[in-house]
Amino acid sequence: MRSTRLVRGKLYHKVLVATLLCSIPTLPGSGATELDARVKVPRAVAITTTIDFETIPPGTSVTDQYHALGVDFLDFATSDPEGGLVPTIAFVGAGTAHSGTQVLDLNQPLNEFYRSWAGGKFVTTVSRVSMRVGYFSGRGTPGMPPSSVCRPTTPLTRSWHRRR
Amino acid sequence: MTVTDGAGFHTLLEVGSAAADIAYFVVTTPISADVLDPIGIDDLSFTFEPVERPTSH
Repeated sequence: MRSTRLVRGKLYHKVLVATLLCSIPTLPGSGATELDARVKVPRAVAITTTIDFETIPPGTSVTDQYHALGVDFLDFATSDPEGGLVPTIAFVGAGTAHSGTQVLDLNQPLNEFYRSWAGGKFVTTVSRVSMRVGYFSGRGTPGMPPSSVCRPTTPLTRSWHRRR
Repeated sequence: MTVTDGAGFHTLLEVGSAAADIAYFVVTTPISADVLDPIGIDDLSFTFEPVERPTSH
C-alpha cells in the first residue's frame, strides 16, 4: 500500500512540472517570452576611485591594503619577494598634501641607496589614471652631503602599461 | 613632468586610454637622478569602465 502511494505521487509531480513550463506566454510577433521582456539591465556607468592615503598610519608599508578599492602596489623594479621597493605612508601636513595630511612615499632604500620608484597593478583594467606628485623637501639619501641631496627640480618619467 | 622642491604634492600626472586597457602603472625618477630625488604621490585616481551588457526592448 505504501509503495503504491509513492509511485503515484511521483507521477503526479512530473505532470505538474511539465504543465508549468509550457504555460509561459509568448509575446505576439516577437518570439520572446514574457520573462525575457521584463529583463532590463541598466547602462554601464564608469566608476572612478580616488585613494587619498589617509587611512593607514604613517610609516606603514603599502602593498595590498587597497586591493578592495582596486589596486595593489607591487615591487616591479626588483621583483624581490622579501620586499624591495615598497612605498610607505608619510605625514607631510595639510596644504603640502593635495588632500588631507598624508601621501605615499616612493623614496625607499634599495641596497645602500634610496630610490623613488613605485608600481601599482589594477585588479581590473582601467581607462584613466591620475595622481598628484610632489617632492620631499629637505630629504635626501642618508650619508650624502647636504649640498648634493636635493636639486630644485626633478623631471619625472612615467610608464603606463597596457594589457595586450 | 617636472616637480619643484617646496611646492607640495599638487602636480597632476595623468593618462587615459579609450580602450580601458591600462593594467598597471609605474612612477619613478630618471635613472641618473633616482638616488637623490625623493618623490611621493597623493590622491591616486583611476576609472573603471564596466562592460555594457545588451538590453532587451
